[in-house]
Amino acid sequence: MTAVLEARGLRVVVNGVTAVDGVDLELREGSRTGLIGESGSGKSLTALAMMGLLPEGVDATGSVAYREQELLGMRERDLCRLRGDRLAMVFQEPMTALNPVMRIGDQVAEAIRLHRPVDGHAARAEAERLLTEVHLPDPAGRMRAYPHQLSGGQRQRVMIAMALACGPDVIIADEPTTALDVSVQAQILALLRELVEARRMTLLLITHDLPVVAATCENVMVMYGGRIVESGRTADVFGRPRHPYTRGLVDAIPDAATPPGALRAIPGTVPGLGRFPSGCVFRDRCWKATDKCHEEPSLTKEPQAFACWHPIAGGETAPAPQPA
Amino acid sequence: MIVAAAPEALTPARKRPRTVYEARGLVRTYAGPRESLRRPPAQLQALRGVSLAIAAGETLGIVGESGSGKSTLVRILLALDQPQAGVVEYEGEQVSGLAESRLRRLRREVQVVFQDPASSLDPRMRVGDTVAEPLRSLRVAGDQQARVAEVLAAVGLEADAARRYPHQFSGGQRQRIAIARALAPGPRVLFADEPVSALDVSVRAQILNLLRDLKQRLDLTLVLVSHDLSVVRHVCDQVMVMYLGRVVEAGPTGDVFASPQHPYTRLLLESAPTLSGPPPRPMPGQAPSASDVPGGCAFHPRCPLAFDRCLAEDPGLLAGAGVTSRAAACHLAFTGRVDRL
Amino acid sequence: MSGAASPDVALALAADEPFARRRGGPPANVVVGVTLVGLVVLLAVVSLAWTPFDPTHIIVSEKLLPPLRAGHVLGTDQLGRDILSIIMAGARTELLVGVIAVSIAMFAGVPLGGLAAARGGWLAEVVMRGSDLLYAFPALLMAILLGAVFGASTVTAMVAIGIAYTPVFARITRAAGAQVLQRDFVLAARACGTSRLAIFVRHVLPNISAVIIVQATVAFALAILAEAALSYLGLGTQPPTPSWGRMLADVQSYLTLAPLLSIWPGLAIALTVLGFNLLGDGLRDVLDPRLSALR
Repeated sequence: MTAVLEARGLRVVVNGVTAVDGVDLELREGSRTGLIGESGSGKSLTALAMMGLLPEGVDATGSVAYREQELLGMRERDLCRLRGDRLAMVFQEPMTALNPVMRIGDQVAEAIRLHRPVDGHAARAEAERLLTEVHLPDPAGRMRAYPHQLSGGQRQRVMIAMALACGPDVIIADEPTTALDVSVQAQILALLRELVEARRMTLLLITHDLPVVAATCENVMVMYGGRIVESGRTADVFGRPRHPYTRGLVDAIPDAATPPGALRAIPGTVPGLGRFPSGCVFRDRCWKATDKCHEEPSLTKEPQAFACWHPIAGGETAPAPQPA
Repeated sequence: MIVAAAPEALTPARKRPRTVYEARGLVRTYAGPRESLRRPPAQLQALRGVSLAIAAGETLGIVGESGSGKSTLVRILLALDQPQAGVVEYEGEQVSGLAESRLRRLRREVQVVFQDPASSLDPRMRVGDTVAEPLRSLRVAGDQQARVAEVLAAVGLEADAARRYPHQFSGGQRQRIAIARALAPGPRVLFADEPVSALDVSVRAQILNLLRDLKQRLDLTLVLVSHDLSVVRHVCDQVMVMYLGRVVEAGPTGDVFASPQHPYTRLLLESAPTLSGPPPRPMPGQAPSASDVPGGCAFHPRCPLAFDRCLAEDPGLLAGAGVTSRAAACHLAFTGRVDRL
Repeated sequence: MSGAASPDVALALAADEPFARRRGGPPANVVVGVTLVGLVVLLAVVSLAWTPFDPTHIIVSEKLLPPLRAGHVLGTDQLGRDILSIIMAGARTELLVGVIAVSIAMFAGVPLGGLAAARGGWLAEVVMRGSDLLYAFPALLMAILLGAVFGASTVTAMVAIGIAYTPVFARITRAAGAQVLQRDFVLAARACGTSRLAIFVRHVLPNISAVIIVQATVAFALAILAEAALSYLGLGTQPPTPSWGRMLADVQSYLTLAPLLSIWPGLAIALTVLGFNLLGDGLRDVLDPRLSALR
């Protein structure tokens, strides 16, 4: 399988602070990959860099290639042709991504006409078809509705319809369900999965929510402090994590199997941008840290890759929870 | 916790612990936004008759999605909002419908922590002043500065945090500050409305552990509102599930989650993604808006078990036979039918 | 943080950056604004102790001297009074008008707006519609009214302008205040037993101070303009108290003889108004964006 979207040594600097520090990322065609990260991890900037959507004043170096075409440094005009057409993005808060004074049908039709030479009539017909494809109830009626008249879940479906408008190869979804209720979240995730499989697209799902990735993606990458600390098949990474941070995240999530009692929390807090320690970014919160960790570990080459000098073996977990 | 919808649903109690909160038949309706000049605004039924009783020392989880009315319920229990019908009693005394000046005791003994630590702390006030505010407003005697230092320490922050501003802290630390403020007047009951939803995963566990710890040390009654079922399952011993302004199921957490007796609870549990469990099954249909509540059982349009009685008759909360404190608002509750969904 | 970024991108940046970071250096418009305003204030303050000549001293024999003649840096007017001295003394009048008028407008408008924001309902409607009515009444008319009743003077001008601008402050206080009252920390304050008045003073006012300060600087500039217009029409400051507006009226007849005469007061008014406007713009950028970008 070919790599559809690939990043090599991606480094993003914001206001003199390195937010993304040498990220290598490969999305194979038809795959569903999750990118897990908390605040300060650099995951959103990575997503934006991969779409060429970084704002001015933010530098990105390294390489981001879509089917061998280098995106970093590409002219805005050419990027615009790729965006929406080949690379599509779905954001967290549909209310800000949708134009509040434009009817839904017009917005979807506009997304189509940006990249396809069709007239208004054909575009609206296609828009209605797309709304049906995303299982929006009463698509014909909803064509004339305004965003505020729809629920959060329905707005997200419209966003997805707009993302699909031109049949892109790649969908990057940045926290697509974080603002939604649990039951709606399940529906949207199922929708994404169904569409990606039916249209043979590639999905990059960015979120802080591990169970969402577990439910939707076959591969996962864990980011911390601007670096990828672990990656591999979701079942392996979550079931038998090698990196202490991943272990900590998994342990922090209460599960049906979690025994009652205090949860195992990762001590300390996520440092702000630019305040991560040198060497291994996790070493000041890691129970396995030694002097060796002042040296930056690189990502191993195995199928389940990790960046750690003291990877976890067997059923090792962090020591018992400390008092809050 | 004991939930009653009608006298006949009250089961004979074994010796009940002291009831801290009791609410009967709460109804709260809001006027929605004005959509057209000709028609009057739609009426949003936030609460359609909610009754509950909270026992001292328990940890109650209130689970619901948007439109369920859980936040409205919390506001009404805190007397920050008044119901249009129904009564709220705290420690046996009525608190609903009272003027602010008569609510001294409630304000001192019942505190709340909100969801978004960024907006629940005044960005223009120093942390110390924010934490001391309840002491000032309630005119609590004693050395306020010392008390501020004491509660900041109790939540794991250093005393010099008092001089700084909220934006200088991380989300998790801000939530600790909010908890410190709630603890300052020495409350007996603590409400936490989605206390960890806005926080990073690695910080959530810390805050939940903190709440557990404080509840035990200070002998608090804790009411946790959350849409995150796994949090409620882990932290709360009693749970109450709400849908469209009604309580649809209530009982001990372990029992309710192991064998839910309301289809909504069951479907909700199954639709939540888990790390190691089976893949989530999306719930059918969409939640109707609170201005357009279906007749009969409000869940019937989406319920796979709905039959003609469900369209006609709204089931009250039925208590499980022999199980003193479990109840579910479904015509098929405790018949084994829901287990076979 | 880039101001040109779309809200989603700004949110994305903010999401990855838990702690706000301040960019160094004040914006250019603040610097220019502060300089101009500072200059005017300096002139006014200095004039209390010293002016090159007595601004009210009439020497007809020295009338209409061009600049830099006989020690008059900017020349003299049609009655031989030193223009620079009049400008300096006039600065006092303008600043006084600005301060008093804006103070009246603020101390009347903010509580009214706060009341409307906090109470809502019919009280808010009454207050806001009342303030709309007042808003429709031009300051000029109010000044004429007051002047007719009490005799035109600087005081009537100040009061008239102050009353005319009250609705502006009432309106922004109401709007900004209502927004602040929705925030969770206000709910938390109510849950602590904080009284409504205490909430307004302790929580609402500090959080809307940015908006009010910016509005105050703009209102200051407008008040000066209004006073100049009123004095030009003879409805404001009366002779012999120096006023830039009246200067403009006085030199009208001499435009062909000594065109420079009209430039000095006009320039003074223009630069002062510009200074306050820039200051207001700059303050708005400095005091607001971090909060709105991060939310």
